[in-house]
Parts: sequence; C-alpha cells; structure tokens
Amino acid sequence: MKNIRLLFKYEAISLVRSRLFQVAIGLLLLVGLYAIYYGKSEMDQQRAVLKEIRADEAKKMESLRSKISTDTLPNVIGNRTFRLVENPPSDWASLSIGQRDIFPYQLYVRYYTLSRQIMTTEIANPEKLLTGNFDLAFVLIYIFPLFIIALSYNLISGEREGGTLSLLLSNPISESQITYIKIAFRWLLSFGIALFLVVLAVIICGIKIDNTLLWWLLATALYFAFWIGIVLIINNLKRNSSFNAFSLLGTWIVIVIVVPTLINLYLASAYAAPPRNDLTQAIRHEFEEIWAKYDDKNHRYQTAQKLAAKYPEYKSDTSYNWEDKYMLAEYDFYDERLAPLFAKYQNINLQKESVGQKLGVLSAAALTQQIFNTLAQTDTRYHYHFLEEAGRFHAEMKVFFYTKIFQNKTFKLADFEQIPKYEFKKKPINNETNNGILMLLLSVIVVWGIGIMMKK
Amino acid sequence: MLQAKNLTKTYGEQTALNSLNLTINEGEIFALLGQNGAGKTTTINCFLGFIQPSGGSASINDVSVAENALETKKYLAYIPETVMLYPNLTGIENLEFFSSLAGFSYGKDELSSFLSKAGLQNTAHNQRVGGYSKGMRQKVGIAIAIAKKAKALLLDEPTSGLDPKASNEFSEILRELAQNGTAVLMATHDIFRAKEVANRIGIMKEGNLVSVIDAKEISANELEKLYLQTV
Amino acid sequence: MKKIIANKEYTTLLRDKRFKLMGGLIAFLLLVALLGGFASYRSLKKERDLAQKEARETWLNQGEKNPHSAAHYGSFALRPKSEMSFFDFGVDSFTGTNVYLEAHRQNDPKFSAAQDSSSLIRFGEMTVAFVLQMLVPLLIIFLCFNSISQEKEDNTLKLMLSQGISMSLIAWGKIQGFSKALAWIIVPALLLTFILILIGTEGSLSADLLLRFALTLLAYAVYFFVFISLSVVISARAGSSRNALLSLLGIWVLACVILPKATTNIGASIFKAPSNFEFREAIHKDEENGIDGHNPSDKRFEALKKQVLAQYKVDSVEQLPVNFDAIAMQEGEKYSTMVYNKHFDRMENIYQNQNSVAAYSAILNPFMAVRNLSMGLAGSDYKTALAFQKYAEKYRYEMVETLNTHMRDFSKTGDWEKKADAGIYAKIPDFDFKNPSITSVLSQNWVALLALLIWVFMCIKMVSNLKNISLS
Repeated sequence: MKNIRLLFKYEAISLVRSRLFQVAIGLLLLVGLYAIYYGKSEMDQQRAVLKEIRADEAKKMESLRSKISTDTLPNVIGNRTFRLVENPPSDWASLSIGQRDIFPYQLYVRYYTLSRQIMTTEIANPEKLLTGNFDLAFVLIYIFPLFIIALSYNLISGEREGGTLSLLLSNPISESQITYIKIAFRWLLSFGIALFLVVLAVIICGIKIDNTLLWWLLATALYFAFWIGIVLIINNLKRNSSFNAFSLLGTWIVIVIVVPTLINLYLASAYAAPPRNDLTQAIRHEFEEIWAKYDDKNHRYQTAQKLAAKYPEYKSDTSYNWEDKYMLAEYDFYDERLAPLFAKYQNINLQKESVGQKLGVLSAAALTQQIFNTLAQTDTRYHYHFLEEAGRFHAEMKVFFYTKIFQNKTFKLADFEQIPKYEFKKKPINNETNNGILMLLLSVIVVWGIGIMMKK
Repeated sequence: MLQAKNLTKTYGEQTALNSLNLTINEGEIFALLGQNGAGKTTTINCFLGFIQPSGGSASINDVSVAENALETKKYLAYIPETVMLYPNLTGIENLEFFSSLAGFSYGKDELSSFLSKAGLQNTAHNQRVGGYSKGMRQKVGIAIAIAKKAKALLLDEPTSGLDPKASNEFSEILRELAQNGTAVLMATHDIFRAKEVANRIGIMKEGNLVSVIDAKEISANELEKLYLQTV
Repeated sequence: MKKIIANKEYTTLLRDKRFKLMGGLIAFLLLVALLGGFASYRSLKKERDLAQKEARETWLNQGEKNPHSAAHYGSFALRPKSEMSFFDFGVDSFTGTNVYLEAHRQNDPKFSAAQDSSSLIRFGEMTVAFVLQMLVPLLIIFLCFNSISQEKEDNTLKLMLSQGISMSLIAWGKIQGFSKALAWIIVPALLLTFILILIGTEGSLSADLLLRFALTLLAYAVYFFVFISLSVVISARAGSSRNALLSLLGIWVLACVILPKATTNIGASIFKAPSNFEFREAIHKDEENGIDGHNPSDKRFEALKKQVLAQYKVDSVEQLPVNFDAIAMQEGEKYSTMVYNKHFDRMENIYQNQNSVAAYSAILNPFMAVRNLSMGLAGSDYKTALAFQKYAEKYRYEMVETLNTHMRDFSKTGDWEKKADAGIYAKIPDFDFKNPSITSVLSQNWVALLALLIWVFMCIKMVSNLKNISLS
C-alpha cells in the first residue's frame, strides 16, 4: 500500500515534468474539447432543424384550422394535415453521433399511403460522411488508447534502458509489483481524464444524469482496462522500448482499424443489400395500377368490399365521397402489398447489425463503439425503431381520418384538436447494452489472463 | 553478512560461476578482482537476486536470496557501475524515492545531509538529475546506499569513471560504513583502490575464485603481479 | 557506392523476419481487399446494370398513355460503378445510387450503401487504397525508423563516413534499398489490380482508364517515397532510434487519423450547410413567389397565357391549335428546374467549400493529397457523384420536356385522354452516364497534385541537406 502511494507520487512527478506527456495531455484535452464542441454543434443543428419544422407544422396547422367551416369534409383536412414525426437526438447523441448523420431523423407524415412518404433521405456532404464524426466517442475509442500507449510503451523497458531498473530492484519490491502499480496508475490517469471530459460534456451539453452515465463510464473503464491488458502482454515480452512502441501501435491498428473493417467487409459480402430495384419498381408499378383502374367501376366496388371485409368499420357507402373512399381503400392495400418488401430490407439490415454485434467481440473498439451508439441511441437499430414509431403514428392518423371519412362525418372545429400529434417516446436502454458490456468484460478478462500467464 | 555456498551459475555449456564459497562478515570489505567475464558481476547479481543460481545458494543475514528475494533486499544496498536515476526528478527527490521504497521516511534536511555526506555539492541537491554528470549521479547512488543503512553493500565497479579525488572520498565513505558494521562486496578493476580499502581481496578467473588474500599482507605492486599471473 | 548501400539494405531487409511478418500481413490484407472489393464491385455493377436495363424496359413498355402520365410514371437512373472503384471505394458507399426521375420533382439519390451497412462501416472500408494509404506508411516507418539512428548508436555510421561517403549518399542508398524491398509487396498487388481491371472491362481497356491507372501508380509511388525519405531523414536527425520511432508514429497518427477527420469536420463547422428541409423549403418559396420574390406563380401563369395567346393570335385557350396545359406545365417545369438548380448549386458550393479545407490541408498532409487524388482517379469521389446527380437531373428535365412538347403539339387544351403511341418513349435516349474526363479530375485536384510535387521537392531537399548533419 505504501509502495503504491510512493510509486504513484513519483510517477506523477516524472510524468508532469516530461515533455512528451505535456504535449500528449495538452493535445488530448484539446481534441477532447473540440470533440465535445463538435458533437454538440452537430446535434444542436439537428435540434434546430426539428424546431424549425415544428414551427412550420404549427403554422400550417393554424392556417388549416382557420379554413374549417360548418361543412368541411374530413378528407379536405386530412389531405393537408402534415405531422412531423421526429427522432430527436438523445442527450447523449452529442457524445456519439453514430449513424445519425446517415439516416433521416424526421418525416412529414400524412394519413395517405405510408410507403410513398417513408423513403426520404437527409442530404449530406459525402466526404464528411466518409471521414466520419470527430465526437467524444471517437476520442475515447481512437485517441485514448494512443495516449495509453504513449504513456506505457516503456513501462519497464524504459527503466531498463534508463539504467534505473537494477537500482529499483535492489529494493524490497518486485518487478511485477512495479508493473502492476505502474499500469494501475496509467489506467487511473487515463480514466480520470476521460471522466473529466465526460463530466465536462455532461455539463456543456446539459445532459440529464441517469444511469446512462454509469453505463457510459463503465464501458470506458472496461475499454481502457482492455488496452492496459494489452500493455501488460507486450510488457511481459520483456523487449526494448522500440519493439514495445511498435507492437502496441500494431495492436492498436489491428483492433481499431483492421478487424472492424474486415468484419464490415465480411458483412457487406455475406449480407449484401441489393439495390432495392424490386422495391422501387413495385412502389411505382403498384401506384400506376391504382390509377389505371380508377375508372373501372366494377374494380372500385370490389376494392371497397375488400376493405370492408378487412375492417368492418370502413364499410363504403358509395353514394357519398365515393372516389376518395376508393383511393383510401387502395392506399391501404398498396401499403399492405409493399410491406413485405420493406420488411425484407429491414430484416437484412437488422440481421447484419446483430451479426456485426456478435463479431464485435473480435475488436474491443468495435464493441465499445456499438455500446456508445446504443447508449446514445444513434445506432442503426434505433433508426428502425424510429421507422416503426412512424408506422405506428401513421396508423393512428389513418384510423382518425378513415373513420370520419367512411362514416360520412363533417369535420368540426372540435375535431381539429383531436388530430393525433406525434410525441416522441424514448425507448428505454435494453439488454443490448448489457450484452455489449458483458462481451467487453470478456475481452478484458481474456487479455488480462494472457498477460498474467505470460508473467511466468 | 554475505555468504555464498557452492554458488554456481551456468548458461548452457558456459559456466559463469563455479562453486563459489565466500563469507563476508559484518564490518568487512571484500574486493573482487578479475577480467571482464570472470564472474564478478554474476556473483553480485546472485546476491541481488537478479539471476537464479544453477546450484548452491547465496544468503544475506542467513536468509537465502533465491527463496526470499524481497526479504533480503531489505538488508542490502547496491551501487551499479553507472548509477542511472530518473532524469525528471531532482537529486533529493531521487534519494527520497529510493529510500522511501526501502521503507525509510527522512525529512528534507536529513536527505540533504546524506547527499552532502556522499560528496554532492549543495547547489545540485535541488537540480534535476538530467543535468548531472556521471560522477554526480554516482554520488547520489552512494547517498541512496548510505540512507538505506544496509547490512550488506554490493558494489559493481563503483569507482570507474570517478576522478581520483572523488574516488578517494568514496573509499572514506566505504570505510566508515564498514566501521558501522556493514558487509561490503565490491567488484573492481582498480587494483590500487582494492588494496587500499579492502580487508580481503579475491581474484576470479573463468568463474572460479582462484585466490583470496589479506590486504594487509600484500603491497600494491605484489598484488598487481599476482593478478597478472593469475588471470 | 550508393548501389552498394542500397543492395546491403535490400538484402538485409529481405532476410529480416520482421519484414517478412509485417510485409506478409500487408500483402495478405491487400489480397483480401482486392478480391473482396472486386467481388463487391462485380455484384454491384451487375445489379445496377440490370436495374438500369429493367428501368429502360419498363419505360419503353409502359404502353400507350397520355404523355404527361408517362412523365409521371417516369424512370430510374442508377449510378454506374466506375471501373477502378473496387480499388478505392471513395465516397461511393456514402452517396445515393438510385434516382427516381419523374415530372415536377427533383428527387435525391436514394439508398446509399452506408445506410445498408452495419455501423462498423464508420471504422473505414477495407480497400486496396485504404491499405496503401494507411497501413503501408506504417510498414515503411517500421522498416526505416532505425535505418540511420541504429548505425549511429552502433558507431558503424562513423566508420562508413570515415570511408569518405557523404551522409546524403548513405541516405539515398537506403531509400533506394527500402523502395526495392517494398516493391515486393506493392507491385504484385498493383499487378493484380491491373489484371482485375482487365477482367472488369472484359479486355476493352480505354486510354482514359489506362492513364487513370498510371497516374494512380505515380501518386502512390510519390506518397511512399515521401514516407520513406521522411523516415530516413528523421532517423538521421533523431537523438535515438526510440525518438525516431516515436516521432514517426506521431506523424503517422496525426497525418492518417487525426488531421483528415479534424480538417473535414472543421470545414463543415465553418461552412454551414442547410438541412434537407431548409433546402426544400427555400426551393418551394422561390417557386411560389418567383425567384426574385415579386413574381408569384399565378402571375407567371397569367403572363404566359397572354404571351401564348398573342403568339397564336387567338382570344382564348380553347381556340389554340396546341395544348396550353402542356405549355404551362413545361413552363412550370422550366421554372422549377431553374430554381432547383440555383439552390442545388448553392448547396453544392457550400459542400465544395467544406471540402476545400481538407483539400488544402494536403499541402501539409500528403495523406490527404493521395486520398483525394486516388478517389478522383478511381471515379469514386464526390465530384463524380455530383456529376452523376447533375446528369440525372438534366436527363430528367429533357425527358419531361420531350413529353410535354409532344403533348403540346398532338392534343388540344384540356384533353387529358388522348394517348400518345408507345413509339414516343424511344425518343428519350438511354440513360448513359459517363465519368468526368481525366483532365477535369486533374484540374479539380490541382491542390493535391501541387502538394505531392512540393512534398517530393521537400524530401529531396531534406535528404541532400543531411550533408550538413553533425555527429556528436
């Protein structure tokens, strides 16, 4: 215990006075601060866009409301009711932007067919998407291991090469004691800086403190422990500092760059997503069909019958507003026919994501990124959750207007307030995080096991 | 006290140290002479526990080094051929660090007095070791050894690279330590210094301790002659 | 003399276990990247060609209908894969591949590969270019970091210099030796790339493609030369091998990991791009109120009516020998396209400005130079994607224009029933996008070219300056 305190104290003094450390820590804090600023500004921009659309929505709704008279038809209002369905950035999104820059995060939804409204894209600069986001997750996953490596590549070899090791070992302390105390110090130091940056980010970004913070810190702590374990392994090879620096950086490249890209290459070829030709053709073709049969009275009648069979409450009374009812019936079947195609591609992607998550065990960096994205709800899965939410809300709108239209009701001012409004519901953090953390823990144990075994 | 019993170290076919028997009592200074590779450093490293002997045993204060390495290190101090220290720490901080590791906690004044005693000028005490000369670092090494109040002192060519004056001061310190009951084992090439400071002198050749001479009974010239004949 | 040193370095390197291990690993990754990239290129190309063919067929066989309905039915434009894109994916995975071409609407390209990828795609894509840009420099650093510092530490350098050889000559010899050893790893990969290009184009290799490949080779050769000479120079100047290694690794991390990301993101922070919503809203506003804000759509419509009536010297649209609806739609199309292009160009300009920050950083960072040049030459850069998008919009406009003109001439105002015969569809040409020419690629990437040139001169200068180095 006394030795721990003593070594910590002198390690700290030595480090603070070392030029490399001064540069490294300055750079680290600088990139950390920039990453916090960058993530916040990116997400604030998305929030601002959502706010703008909210205002636009309110304005449009207000002008629509003023048009309501005693004999307003519900479809007139329905056709003009655009509701914002949004996937607002979570508090933590600023720290791990994940896939949010690739997927659209808002939709304007009408009660019409959903299939023709859901395929929006967010425009973005492809070069920026290619290089990716400089967020805090990037700093924690890419840069911190480099910092740990810079601090630890000469853990013992530096003492050996500097000639102090023999003098050190002539004292009642063993080499492995020194090693463990030194790496514990480095772990604490890196985690301390990370903790500082995360807490700073929590304050700057105004993040509500809940157990996400604990999960985030736990993942960070484990990820750093993984790298400290790698340091232990390389250190126990007892080679010179140059060898250590190179092997550590080599390991960094394999874990942070090569393995994730190889997993991605595998996933891209094993679960290739076709160009959705069938989907785009079907969306167009099926719609064309509806219009082609528009004037076919017999077909119209049958479609209405079919809808009534499916939903008894939407029984068509052909005497009133008949064309609209026909189209609404067709929209329902249109969505129904296209649903399997949408589901097909969604399933491919979700399957890919879950295989990717499992293969993530090969790279602690990939695992940690996935954990961060899940915590920040910026992963692919969350995007599909958002699409599901959009579908659920659309169904709500559809029921609201279909009921009024098929029951031949006029649209009252009082009804206006009843138009469903989308409210974003945050999905609770689920066991994907638990699994990720467990896998990360496993890799820490494996690495440390190897490191300790090599000690002999 | 230091004791070697049939201490042997082999590296494959090579015998670095062959069945060394040696006892150095409290207050005694023993100098080991011999060519490079004769086994002097191997002997010291066995006492330090840095290498595991292939046979026999080395013990300090009747505690076996191989079995209780950490325990024996409490009783010994060591000054390597070139004392290397932490360049970012000052002389006094280096001393404080090492003596704290050994379990002592001295005040600043005490630490400073150890350094002065080892011959380090006062102005250097609070300077970083990065700017020290070899001799100055050597003196910090001596101070570390003094501060440890060790029962056994192991020296591996401690005076190489020191100027004659510093060398002389060093001999003084060794004598003083011996008077206080420390057993000293010193490997050296300096025949003159060995004769002057040691009680007994051993000459090693190819891992064997060939002869042991009482320092009082031999002149420096005779010792040199003997040395040249032996090796 | 130089040759002797070069040969010594070359033979010792080839016998070096570390070189064999690292080199073997890189060669393996190159092979995986090549074959994986080519397989995915082939399947994507096949799918897109097929999809484009299908789009054309459905377009031609949509049956007799009112020309405007046909314009609504529309067609699809698929971004073709460039022949060399398997070598460097560039931004290909992050751009939409499928544009729906229809009347009245300028649709964004949809379905980027990134949306269909696992989130691991953000770690980068394993392509030949990726290995060459990121990992080979590391191999170089590993091989060269102690090339001179070790000789200094072992005092063999003094021995060599005492033989009357100059320091820069030693350095040149080493650079030559290292380059030769490195060639054993790079050349087979590039040879295989060339063979795959031949397979991909089924032997019909165009001069343009050949030139692109040759320039790619040259760019990477320069890039590697810069890293080799930088490593040797730093090795000569560093106090110890360890310091040389640390400095070089620091440079690598900065150049290949931190700077590219930082410069791109800083560019995006300085030049704020509008969101899709803002972009569409601005277009909508301009369409409604006129591009100058004082020319609303109904006013424009009235003016058009007046002008057409005057042109045909009649009093009402019913008396017109042509279909006024078609004329009005075409005018609307023209106006909205003009508005769209204005906003699109504005946004594109913002993106260019954003990217220019990273592009100019090439002067300091050879990684950026070779990255931009490589994807430009491979036809997988942003500019090629942009050219596709513009081409698709032009194609869409001409398609709608042809149909509107036809409708104007063959029917009267208010007649939405008259069907054009199916022959009209064939008047719209095939969608046939060609990559921008190599000259435009080079002119767009002049900063990268200049940067590489500067780096070559700087490296030559640095190596010859080694003459003046002092040995302490």
